[in-house]
Amino acid sequence: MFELAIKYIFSRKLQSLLMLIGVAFGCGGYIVFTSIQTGFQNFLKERLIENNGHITIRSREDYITTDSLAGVFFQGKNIYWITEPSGKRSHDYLQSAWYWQKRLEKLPYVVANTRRIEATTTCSRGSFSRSIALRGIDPVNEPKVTNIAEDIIEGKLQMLSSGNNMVIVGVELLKFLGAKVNDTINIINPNGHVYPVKIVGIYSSGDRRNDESLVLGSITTVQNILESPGKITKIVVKTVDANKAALFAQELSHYSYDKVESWDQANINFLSMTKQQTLIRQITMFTFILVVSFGIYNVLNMLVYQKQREIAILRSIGYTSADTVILFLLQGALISIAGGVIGLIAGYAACSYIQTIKLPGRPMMVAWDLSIYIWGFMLVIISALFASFLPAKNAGRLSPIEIIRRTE
Amino acid sequence: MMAIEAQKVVKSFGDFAALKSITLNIPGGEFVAITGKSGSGKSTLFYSLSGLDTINSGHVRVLGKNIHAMPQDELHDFRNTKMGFVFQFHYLVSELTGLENILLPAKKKNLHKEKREYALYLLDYFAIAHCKDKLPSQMSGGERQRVAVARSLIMNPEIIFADEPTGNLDSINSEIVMNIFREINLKNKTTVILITHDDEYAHLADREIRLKDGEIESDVHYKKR
Repeated sequence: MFELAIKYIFSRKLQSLLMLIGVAFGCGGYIVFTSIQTGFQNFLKERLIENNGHITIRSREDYITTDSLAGVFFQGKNIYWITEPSGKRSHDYLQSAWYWQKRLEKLPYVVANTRRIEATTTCSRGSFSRSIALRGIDPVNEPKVTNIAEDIIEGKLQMLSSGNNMVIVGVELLKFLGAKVNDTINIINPNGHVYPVKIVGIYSSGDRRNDESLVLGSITTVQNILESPGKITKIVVKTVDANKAALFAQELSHYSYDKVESWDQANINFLSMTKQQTLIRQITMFTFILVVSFGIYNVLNMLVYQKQREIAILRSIGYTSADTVILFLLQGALISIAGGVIGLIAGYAACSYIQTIKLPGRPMMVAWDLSIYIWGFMLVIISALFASFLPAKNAGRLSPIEIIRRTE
Repeated sequence: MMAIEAQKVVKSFGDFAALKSITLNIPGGEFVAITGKSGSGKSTLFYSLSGLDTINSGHVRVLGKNIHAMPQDELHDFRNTKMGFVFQFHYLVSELTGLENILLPAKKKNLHKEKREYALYLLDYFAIAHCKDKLPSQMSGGERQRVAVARSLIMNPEIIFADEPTGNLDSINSEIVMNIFREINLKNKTTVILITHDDEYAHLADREIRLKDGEIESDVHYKKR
């Protein structure tokens, strides 16, 4: 049957070629679309994790309600509020940072952790001023948790420890202020006090929002500026597996009333968007593969119709119904395997080329994941086999005697 | 040994009875022509005797086996090894060469390598050696039919069923094909069941069974040639 299937394929070169191209496009298209989209999503995900670690622990913000105040003033009595309590109850600073760090060091799934103090303030130089995100970091531990050190394009993170009032400034902010390394800029704290700081480095992440507003200093420097000695606003944690961060965060949340949040919980909108993108891609690919499958179905169905008399003679000389099913199924299988292999090669080649395309600020992101290739190949093979199965089954059902009666 | 024993075979299509309780015995090695006008039931008898079609009642024993009671797989195998078929339309596989078409039944049994020599002999014997590597589309009608006959013989069947094998051929090719059947019958002692509406070819047979309205009208044994 194999030889006959091959003969059938080559005897109808144009039809077979169209089927082959369809399958190759299906497989290659799946690989290219999925690789680009996954690559882009991975890039965004890495950026999120790079800057903020897998888990952040910060002081919890609570909404004040009548329930949260029950029993505080008049225990055991019904209270009728004239004006119901409202607003937020929060601590700007983490109350138990030391306790957290000691506990985190003992957990097997925690790779490293670091402290931060963050606030929104203003910086100025001459007549220029801008609102900034001031971040106090531990220059020793921060690189163990995030990749922030890799984004320092001039100077080094460790220079923040070389003295008081040293800062690293985002490249866009630097341009705005018209400053350069070794210049002094002023930071105005929420109390309105001005602190001059010296620029010892430049930070560039490619994320314009960060590059326009981020100012990094040592924890001590930022505590001084914010006039909050010993205070910490958050602890950033790196775990053994970023994909399990939500699970680890849930476990950590049992230790304290502080707010423990994984990177994916904090960026739920982003993840919803990526899921939506994935869904759109899957629907597009499904539609495309469905069209390819219909093409295969139509070609094979036509072939079964054209080959009825030959099917009849095959059956009369001893070939079984199953043999005829296999004959047509084999054609679908051979074309889909050949098309799938071509699709794999074409997909790989296209991804290799796409990766060389430069976009502003970065190259095109392409995911090199073996599972994408396996999925692409399997998807078209299964679809093509399914599309071939129906005509093959019809061929198997044909009664030789009815065909002979019809044609004689 | 009886090649075919048919007992009270009835075949109906709805209310129409195509075969009305046919009983006949065909001894092994006999050349039998089944004749009759259109609609007399000769093709239906052909399909019923060969097991290509089912019957409503009665029994058909081919080489001692009740073919209508056989499981499908066994019946396919039986047809492959014991029976050869030639139809009015040659039904060659258009993608295969003459040699490949002849070897098609052998391929089912994975015997095509062993049978290749015999296939070449048949090509030569039927004077169609030049068709060995030709596709059916490159052959004449007579050549195609001779390839179809060669295909029916490749497994050395004990019975050849031929349904109007000359129906689509000119007189010269018809004679060639009929002589081939006669030779096969005489040389190999192969039973030949020939459906024809041509009296001239019917007289080449040992016996002529004439059907009329689904019944045997006459059963004549001719003197052996």
